[in-house]
Amino acid sequence: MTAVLNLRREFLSTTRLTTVEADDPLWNQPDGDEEQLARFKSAFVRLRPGLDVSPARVEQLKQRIAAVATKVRVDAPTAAAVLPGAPPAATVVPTIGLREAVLLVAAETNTRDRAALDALLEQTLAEVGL
Amino acid sequence: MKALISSDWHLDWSTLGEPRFGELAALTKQLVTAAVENECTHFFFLGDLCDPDRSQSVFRCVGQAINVAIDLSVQGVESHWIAGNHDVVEDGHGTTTLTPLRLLEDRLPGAMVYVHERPRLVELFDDLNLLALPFTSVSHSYDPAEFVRGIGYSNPPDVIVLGHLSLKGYEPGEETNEMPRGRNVDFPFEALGEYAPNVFAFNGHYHRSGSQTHAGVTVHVPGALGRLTFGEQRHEPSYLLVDFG
Repeated sequence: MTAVLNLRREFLSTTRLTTVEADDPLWNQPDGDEEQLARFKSAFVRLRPGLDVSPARVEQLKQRIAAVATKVRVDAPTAAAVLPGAPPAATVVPTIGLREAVLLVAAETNTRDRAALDALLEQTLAEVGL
Repeated sequence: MKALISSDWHLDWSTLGEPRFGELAALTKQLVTAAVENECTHFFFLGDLCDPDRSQSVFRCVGQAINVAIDLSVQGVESHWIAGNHDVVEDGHGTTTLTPLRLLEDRLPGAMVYVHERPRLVELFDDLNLLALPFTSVSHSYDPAEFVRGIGYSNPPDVIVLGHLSLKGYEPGEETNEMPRGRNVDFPFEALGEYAPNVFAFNGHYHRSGSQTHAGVTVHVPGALGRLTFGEQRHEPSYLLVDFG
């Protein structure tokens, strides 16, 4: 005897998890977003601001959503990480500690010649800006 | 017989640091109500009650499972509990988070609670068997295909297979990405295919509901009880109601 399988899937009503992506129009509606905020009621919300969104706007939206949501988290607040007037990353000279510099010199020279070591140490320190 | 099938409760899980126990425990009570209202004779849990070592909440999670088992028993519903990869304790003894439930099976046979921490074949009726293929600890590992072939049916009855193993070809989700634990143990499609079409298979582990067919065997996946991580925000949590007519 082979049984006949009658299968039914029943869905459960559970807490929603929602992400506000960088292209969500909500980022551009500082005042008229009340209706939009309703969609986060009792949800876990993750905010993903774009680079052009100010930290103030991120915080404002976070607070407003937090008023209706179970929990809100801001993901990768990249806008706040860029300091005004900071030089581009490529022009920043990497720093190095004295210990790393000495190890670098020792590895380069492989010698016990103190004078040669001193010269190389000076040269290496100058190269790394110390 | 009619059965309600549910899986991957993860009662200890927190989302954004917020414990989900209250909400998920309430959903397990809904499952009991649904089983009774739909006149189910059986209830199958397909693994991953909670991690034994993530937090102290393990005690209330196990307590909730015992609550559900007792509520079902009182209503005359027989329950079967399969251990998942999150349930095992690598203590060398084969302990799982379901081990306390086994007291009901061992000490109160009339409770109709059965815990499957090892592979096992159970005769439900003369013409209907239940084959449990749980996830086990390294110290108690087994080869599911070898176990299935070892049964050696010559004239196979109908077999309900309950597993918590890896399904070949099933798209991995957060159970693999954000919530990994243990190792991959493959579901024995080919070995079970030798008994098709008498096989009715169900598997836990995967949080996204669906089904997978291979070697003539279709495995139905109930999916997780709730949306646990942001990778699951588009999931529709569900359970299965199955009538083996």
